[in-house]
Parts: sequence; C-alpha cells; structure tokens
Amino acid sequence: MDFTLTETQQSIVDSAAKLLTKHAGPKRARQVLATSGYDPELASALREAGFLSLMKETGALEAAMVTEAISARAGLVHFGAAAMVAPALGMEIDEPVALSRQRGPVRYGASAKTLLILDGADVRVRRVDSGEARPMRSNFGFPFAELPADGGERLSGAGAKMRAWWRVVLAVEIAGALRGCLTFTTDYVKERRQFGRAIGSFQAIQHRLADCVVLTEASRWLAYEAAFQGAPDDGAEVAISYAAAAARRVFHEVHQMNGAIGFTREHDLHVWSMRLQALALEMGGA
Amino acid sequence: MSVSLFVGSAEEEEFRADVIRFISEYRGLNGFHFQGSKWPEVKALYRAIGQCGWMSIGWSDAAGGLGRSAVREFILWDEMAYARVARPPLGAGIVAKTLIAHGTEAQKQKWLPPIRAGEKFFSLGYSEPGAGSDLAGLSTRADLHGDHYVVTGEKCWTSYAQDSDYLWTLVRTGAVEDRGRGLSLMILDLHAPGVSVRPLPTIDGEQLNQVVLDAVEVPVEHRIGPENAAWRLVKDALDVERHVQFPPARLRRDLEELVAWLRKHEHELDPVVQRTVAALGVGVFEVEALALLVLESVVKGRPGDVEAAQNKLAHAELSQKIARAPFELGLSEALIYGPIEFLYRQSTWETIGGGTSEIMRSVVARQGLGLGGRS
Amino acid sequence: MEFGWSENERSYRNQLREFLAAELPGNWNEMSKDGPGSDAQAAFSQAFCGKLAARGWLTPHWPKEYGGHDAPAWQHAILSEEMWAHGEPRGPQYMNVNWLGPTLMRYGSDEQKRFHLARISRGDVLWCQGFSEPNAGSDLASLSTRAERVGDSYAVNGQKVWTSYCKNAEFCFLLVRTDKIETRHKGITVLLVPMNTPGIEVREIDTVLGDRYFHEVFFTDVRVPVSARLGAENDGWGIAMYALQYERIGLPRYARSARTLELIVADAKSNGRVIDGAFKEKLVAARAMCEAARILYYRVIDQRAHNQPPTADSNVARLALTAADRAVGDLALELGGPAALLYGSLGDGNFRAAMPAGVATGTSEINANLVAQRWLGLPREA
Ligand SMILES: Cc1cc2nc3c(=O)[nH]c(=O)nc-3n(C[C@H](O)[C@H](O)[C@H](O)COP(=O)(O)OP(=O)(O)OC[C@H]3O[C@@H](n4cnc5c(N)ncnc54)[C@H](O)[C@@H]3O)c2cc1C
Ligand SMILES: Cc1cc2nc3c(=O)[nH]c(=O)nc-3n(C[C@H](O)[C@H](O)[C@H](O)COP(=O)(O)OP(=O)(O)OC[C@H]3O[C@@H](n4cnc5c(N)ncnc54)[C@H](O)[C@@H]3O)c2cc1C
Repeated sequence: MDFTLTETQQSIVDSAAKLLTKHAGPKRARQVLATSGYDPELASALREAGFLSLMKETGALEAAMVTEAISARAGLVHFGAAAMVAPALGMEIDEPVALSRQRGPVRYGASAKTLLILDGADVRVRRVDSGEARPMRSNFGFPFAELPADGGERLSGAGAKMRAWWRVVLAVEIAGALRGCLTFTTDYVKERRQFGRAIGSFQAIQHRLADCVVLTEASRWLAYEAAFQGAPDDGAEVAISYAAAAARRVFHEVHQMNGAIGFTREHDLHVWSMRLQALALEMGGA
Repeated sequence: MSVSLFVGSAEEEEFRADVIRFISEYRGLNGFHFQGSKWPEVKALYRAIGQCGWMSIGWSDAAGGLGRSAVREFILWDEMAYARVARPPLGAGIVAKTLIAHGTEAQKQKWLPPIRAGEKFFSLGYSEPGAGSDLAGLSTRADLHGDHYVVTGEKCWTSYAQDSDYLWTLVRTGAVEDRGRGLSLMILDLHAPGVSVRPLPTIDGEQLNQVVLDAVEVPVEHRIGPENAAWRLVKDALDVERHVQFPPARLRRDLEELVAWLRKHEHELDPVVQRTVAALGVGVFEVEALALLVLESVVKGRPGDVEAAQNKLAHAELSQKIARAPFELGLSEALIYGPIEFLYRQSTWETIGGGTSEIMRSVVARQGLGLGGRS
Repeated sequence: MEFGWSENERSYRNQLREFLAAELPGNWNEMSKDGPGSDAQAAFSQAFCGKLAARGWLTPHWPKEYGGHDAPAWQHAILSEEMWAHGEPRGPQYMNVNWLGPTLMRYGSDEQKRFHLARISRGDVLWCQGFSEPNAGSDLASLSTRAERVGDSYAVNGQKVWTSYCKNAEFCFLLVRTDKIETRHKGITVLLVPMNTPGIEVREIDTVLGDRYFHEVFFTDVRVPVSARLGAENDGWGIAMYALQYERIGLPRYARSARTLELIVADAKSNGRVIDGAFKEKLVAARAMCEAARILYYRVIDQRAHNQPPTADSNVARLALTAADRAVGDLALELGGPAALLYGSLGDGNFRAAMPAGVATGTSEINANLVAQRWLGLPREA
C-alpha cells in the first residue's frame, strides 16, 4: 500500500493537467455542449500526447488518473472507453469508441467510429457507419444517441472483463466530476455572502460539504484501487456502487448550496453536476 | 382527482366538480411548468378564470370578489395543479390581498379590476444578486424626488418578468443598516423607461430573468403602505396566501406520471420498484395532511409560519423523491428528454425557490421547537 | 501509488487468523457479548495479550527500545483489523496500543516511558481515559476537574464521566485544570493516575451498549505526585489532541462491519434464504461503505507510514467509519429479522458495537466541523 505518487505518476499527472488547462475546462465544456457535445480537439490533443497507450505502457492506474483529471475539467471525450476498456480487451481500435449494453441511450454514440457491445458473456465489436446513429436529446451533460446493436465481430467470453472495466471507468469518471462539483462549490460558498457572512460559515452547509468530501475522496480511492488491481469483479462492483450513490447525493447537495444561480446555464456548476446522473445510470445504477 | 384525504362540504365538492369541468377544456396545456413558453394560451386561460369570477373568489364583496372561504381557493388551485394547467397568479393572490388590506382607494380602483379580469399580470421582484435567503439585505434603492421615486438596482431570478406588466417589488428607502425596517413595497411598470429584462436560461429549458432598474421613475402613489413599513406587509401577504402556494395535488400527479412511465417501460412488476412507489404513495398523503394544516391555519386566521415551513419542506423534498426514483432505481431511460426527466430537473429547485429548505428548517427549529437561533 | 499487499503482509494476516482460530475459545461469541470492557473479556485479554506479546504481535510497530519490533505502520493496521473484526479479544488493551503508547513515547519522561511502555508491551495493564466531564463533552476545553499544587504533589478534586473500562483499570490518563477556567485549553495538564489512589470513587453507569462502558469517577483530594505529570504543567491540551488523532483512527471499525456482512450472507445461505435483487443491492451498498471507510482509513495509515504529521484526512476517515458502521448496523438488524433483537445475536452485537461510533472519541458534528475548516478551508461559524 502506498498513496504517494511515484515520479512517473507525478509527471503524467502534471502533463495531463497542463494539457487540460489548455484544451478543457468549464468554458470549453459549455461551448462543446452547445454543439455536438463531443470535443474532437481535446481527443486529438490527448492522442498526440500519447495518453491513449498509457494502459499498455505504464498501467491501468495511470490511465485512470488521466481519466479522472479529464472528468474533473469537464472534458467531453470518451477517453476511458478508448484508453481503458478497449486495451483491457486487448484491442487496438478506431477512436472514438463508445460502449453499449444493447439497449438504452449510448453516450457519445453519434461521434463513435467503433462500438463495443456488451452481449451477455460476450463482447461484440462493431464499426459504426455514418448515418447509423440517431442523436437523442438529453440534458445530462453528455451527447447521447441510439445505435443499432446488431452484428459485429464476436469476442467470446470477454463480457465479464468488459463489464468490470466499464464499471471502473465510470467510477473514475464520477470521481472526477465529484471533484469538479466539490471544488467549484467550496469556492462558491466561501465567496457568497448572506446575512453578513459567507454562507460557507453556516454549519448547515459545512456539515453537508464535509460529507461530500468523504464521498468524493472515497470514490476516487476506491476507483483507483480497482484500476490498480486490474478490475476484479468485486472491486469494480464496489467502486461503481459507491460512486453512483455518491453521485446522486452530491448532485443534490451542491445544487442546494448554490441556490438559484446553480440552475442557470451561465453558472458553471451544471457542466459537472448534470453528468453525474448520466454516469451513475450508465450501468443501470450499479 | 383521484383519492385524497380532503373532502369538502357538499357545496365545496360541487364547486370542485365545476372546476374540473372547466379544466377539461384546457387538457394538454401545461401552464404549470411551461408558463413562459405557453404564455398566450395561459393568458387566455387566466382570462377565462376571471370570467368565472374565480380570480377573485376569495376577495371580499366590497373588493369585487365572491367572498368565499380559503377552502375554495385551495380547491381551485389544487385542481389546477393536478391538471398542470396553471399556477395561482401573483396578482390575484399576494398583490390583490395586500392592496385590499393596505392599499388606497385609488390603488384598488386602478389594479383590482384588471387583475380580477385576468388581464394584468405581476412578477415578484424580491431577490437580488446579493439578497437571496437574506432578503432583508437587499439594496435596490428608491429615492424620493418630489412626486415620484427614482429606483435603481438589480433584481434577479424574477419568474415570468418577460411577460408581466408589473413588478411587485421590494426596495430600500431607508438605511442599509435598518435591514427589514428600511424597505418599501411598490408596483413598478415593467414597460417604464429604464427597465431592462434579460433572460437567464435555466436547466429546465425555461428562463428566469434579471431585471435591471436604471433610474426608473415610480409615482409615489404606486407605493403600497407607508414608507419603510414593507416587512410587515410582506409577511401578512404570505399569511393569507400560503394555502395555495404548494398545492399537494401536484405531487399526486407527479406520482401518477411516474407510475405510468414505469408501466410504459415495463418496470412495474419489479418488487423493488413496487416498494419504492408504495413508499412515495404514503408520502403523498403525508404532504397532503401537512397542506391541510396550512389550510386550517389560514381558515382560522392563525399564524401558520411553522405549518407553512413544514409543508414547504416536505412538499419540496417529496417532489424530488418522486422525480429521482427512476434514477435511484437505475433506469437509464430516464436520461432522455421527456416528462420524467423534466420533473427531475424541475424539482431540483423546489428546495430553493420560495425559501430554501435550510431556511424552512430554521423556522421549524426556532419557532416550532423553540430552539435558540443566531439572529 | 500502489494498492497491493506485500507477501509479508499477506502472510502476517494469515498467521493472525490462524492464531485467532486457535486461541479464541469455542464460546467466544457468548463470552464477548457484553463488550471489550466486560469482566469476562477484560480477564481474557490479560492472558490473550500476554500470548500476543510473546509472539511480538501486541506492539509490533513500536520501536525496539520500548518493547516493539519497529514493524511498519501497515502491520499495525492489519493487526487492528483482525482484532476488531473478531470482537476485540484484546479487550480494553486496544487503547494502550493505539493511542496511549504513542502519546507516552512522544511526551513521557524516560522514567515514565520505561515503566509504562514496558508494562503495556507485556500486555498486563489496563488503562482508562479521564477526559469527559458532565459539563465538558464536545467542549473539552471547558473541563473543570482541578489539580492544585501542594508541595511535590497535586491535590485533585472533581468529576469525570463516560469513562470506559475504568472499573478494571489500573491507571487513568487524566486531564485536569491547573490554571483558571477562563484560560480554557491553555490551563490543562495530563496526570497519569493510579486508580487505587485514595480518594477515587468509581460508579458504573448502566448502558444499552454492554458492560463497563460508562463510569462516573469522583476525585476527592486525590494526591498525585508531580512525577506522574505527563509533559509540562498547562501543556496538556496539545498532548490530548495528539492522543485523539490516534484514538479517532484507532479502531478499524469497518473490519467488524464487513465481517458481519459476510456472516449475514453465510447465515442467510445456510437458512436457505434467497438473496434476491433488493437484498443483494443493499448488501453491495453497505459493503461499499465499509470499503470506502477502509480506503480512507488506509489513507491515514499511509501518512503515518510516511511519518507525515496528522491532517484532517483523519476526520474524513472517521466520518466514513461512522457512516459504514451505521449502514451495516441497520442492515444487520433488518436482514436478521426478529431474531436479531435477541441479546448476543449477530445483529445485536454488531449494532451495539456500531451505535456509539458517532459520539465516542469526538462526535460526527465535531469531526464535520474540522473537515469543513481544515480540509475545505471554510470560515469558522461566527
Ligand atoms: C425557480 C425559481 C424561481 C424563482 N422566482 C423568483 C421570483 O419570481 N421572484 C423573486 O424575487 N425570487 C425568485 N426566486 C429566488 C428565490 O427566492 C431565491 O433563490 C431564494 O430565496 C434563495 O436565494 P439564493 O438563490 O440567493 O440562495 P442563497 O441565499 O445564496 O443560498 C445558498 C445556500 O445557502 C443556504 N443558506 C443561506 N442562508 C443560510 C442560513 N442562514 N443558514 C443555513 N443555510 C443558509 C441556502 O439555504 C442555500 O442552500 C426564484 C428561485 C427559483 C429557484
Ligand atoms: C461508548 C463511549 C465511550 C466513551 N468513553 C470515554 C472515555 O473512556 N473517556 C472519556 O473521557 N470520554 C468517553 N466518552 C465520552 C465522549 O468523548 C463524549 O461523549 C463526546 O466527546 C461527546 O460529549 P457529550 O456526550 O457530552 O455530548 P455533547 O458535547 O453534549 O454533544 C451532544 C450533541 O451536540 C452536538 N454538538 C456539541 N457541540 C457542537 C458544535 N460545536 N457543533 C455542532 N454540534 C455540536 C454533538 O455533536 C452531539 O450530537 C465515551 C463516549 C461513548 C459514547
């Protein structure tokens, strides 16, 4: 056990932070959400920086750290699918990648070139041709589409692996978005004054924000641990179950603390908060 | 409406039947949630309500009303909420009732008839960027210059200001240090020079507004009640209006829509789903009981601050529980744009608008339970 | 960063489990049902801790000079997990190992260290903690038990309350006031008081938790030699806070909760009960909370392992420990059905152990205040 970053890890985290400061952030997220919801520029910056091959070259934990950082900066790319789920299945495939459970809306479905379909005990890998995706309108922070889930090349017996890694990716993404919500809201309650004092000085706010710290921190560490251990079924289940519950709770707490301004599109909170719900639901809530 | 705790007298239930008959012509109009985008239709509906005499159903005879009890008002707006057609307009409630109690003859003459007819509409201009929960800290100034005030400042989160005729607004006429004792109420013409209304798009797809007041002239005779005496008036107005503000049938309707949605997506046989729905059903009755306690305090003319705070708190939280159920149950169809997903986003602010849950809890703790408080 | 156990650590845990399997008597569940302070468990702990000490497992993480083996902090964490998960066979002695030892090592005189640490690491002494008073609970700095200097001793007068285990204790780690009450935390001193000193009267308070959880301790002109003072006069607050940092994260409470969940499942299976969707979901959620508490606890252990000063991460972990205990406590009752209401049942035992988590050693509210102020940097409430 060791919670301290190694030198390699530190340098990965630092260079990811630098890239994300330039190519992501709430302002960028609002622009992207107003159009396709997918950010090809961020995707290519990540590709060029070599982050897509982190899992093979360094390890799953490092790939998870970058996934978390992207989510915490409200990036709109399906990095975890391409950089964690696909390589875990031993595949080199065309980005962007989207993940499907055969039914239900597919996140980033409209921009995907490759679809990984979880089909019971198997996985099917399917090319997405242009015009196949039907975009679906949603307010939950990501672009969604309906996609055909037939055909594709079958990977027998890979289903359990895909499910576990998918869960880990979701847990990591949730952890990042939680951190985004927490940091943003902490700053807000320090600044916002009512009754002659910062609202962050009221215990009614402090205690619930302290709970949010617990939920955010534990979500992140559990997700990292599951990634480090290679997504064991058990660890992946625990990580997503905890993170999904945390997402639901924190969403409401931070909106409550931001008051009316939190519902406006010009306040940044929603770029992190709305996606929490989508992530929590992606595997059916657990 | 479906099963409910409340049964009125024979006449009251007859009245309810009339209301339901009236509403049947407006089925499909959701003015409750989409007043902004459906304004022409909602406005026509309000006019029709006015023609029935129902806008002023609870006003006294002398004020041109029907002089009926608060129970009728409750039934009227609860049914409207159940049908989702409309909310009680600010004009016929808080504005008119305050004018009847504290207005001058001229003020009553000027505003009561068009309100009663469903022709003129008001927005609530209380909140400001620096004054949300702490309303007494507001800073929009009104300075007297001869026969008019010059009003400068900024109001925000102003619902429906884009379509309203007037702003029912609280302004500072005294010193900032006087807090609540330095405020006056006035009616400000939203079309007057110096008023600009800017939309604030919200995550329910509708809008709130920012209302910037730049040296807007308001005639002295548009001030309601004495100068610096607004705090009392604002509170009194709440006392006579709180029974229609959070209609419990809205929740009954939310739950019915949830159940219909669960059926449509074939989840209704799942035992976990059934347990959840059953618990929510009990919650609906609980909130209705709390709403009836509020109604009772209004009917009996008792102060009902605690009842109102309890009711607001429980109402807001249940609306969220119902809307969140599909999310808690892990049903990903709920992410896609539609009625259930809409309720999710809409209900998120129920614990903020109209006084936050934290403030409601403080009222229950301090006034209801007698616990100490800071201020 | 890495999240694995070394071969050594794994084998240490296995050896501990084998040891426990061999040493815990067949009627251990029955014997431990009244809690770590009960007479039965306190007596058992004397022999048990002696055996642990003989293997070097009582205080493995202590420096050699104080009877330890310089083992890494992680080894202590593994030890604590296994002990608490199995109903704490060390009885009240877990306190000695968790916070008394480290505090004595840091603040004790050579003589105090030599005397007390040796006894603790042999496993034959029981201590109690005299902090709380009737009017000083969360607000510990307002304590008023007085110690007046009389020659080369102190005369102690006052009352402590909620003191655990002290009926069987030999020493008390006592906080007293040695300056005016208005000085608050600046006028507090620590005394290491033998419980058989004349003038000490102990009265047990009956609780719903088990035996010997709570006592009132009355001090009437109790003479304590100055040599029994820990640290300097009026320097007690810093010492108490140091001790609390260790105590708060002393018990890996999730370990017992997680084990309870395993036992519930085993129990359900052996009774032929179907683990349906709703049951399973609750189990996963509760287990996830235990795991969350575990990983946040590890975060704190990691800081210790790196010799970093304590941070508000320990308050974060404490909140998670409490939340997990509560979730499992409720679930064990719910799933155990009416039988869980019986004294000594799995559900009951776990529930009683979990119940005071949010109050003992500093309440959740106080921990939340500290997280808000120190972790998030929010302003203090005016
Ligand atoms: C949909 C909607 C419609 C609205 N329509 C109108 C309208 O038409 N006209 C109008 O005037 N206003 C309107 N409002 C504004 C509403 O009245 C305010 O949002 C509300 O009073 C809260 O103020 P705030 O948003 O500034 O939040 P703040 O007061 O900044 O509160 C932020 C957080 O701090 C907490 N907090 C504040 N003080 C305390 C305290 N003392 N103790 C503990 N916690 C505290 C709050 O509970 C909240 O969680 C509307 C709001 C919404 C959401
Ligand atoms: C099982 C158990 C064993 C114990 N063993 C010992 C022992 O061996 N030795 C010993 O000295 N003590 C012991 N204690 C006492 C324990 O340390 C105190 O109970 C604890 O510090 C709380 O004090 P109190 O009980 O007086 O509660 P109070 O301080 O009166 O608190 C009551 C409630 O008010 C809340 N509250 C108080 N202040 C604030 C604030 N500033 N903000 C928000 N909320 C606040 C608290 O969080 C709590 O919910 C034990 C307690 C338990 C439950």
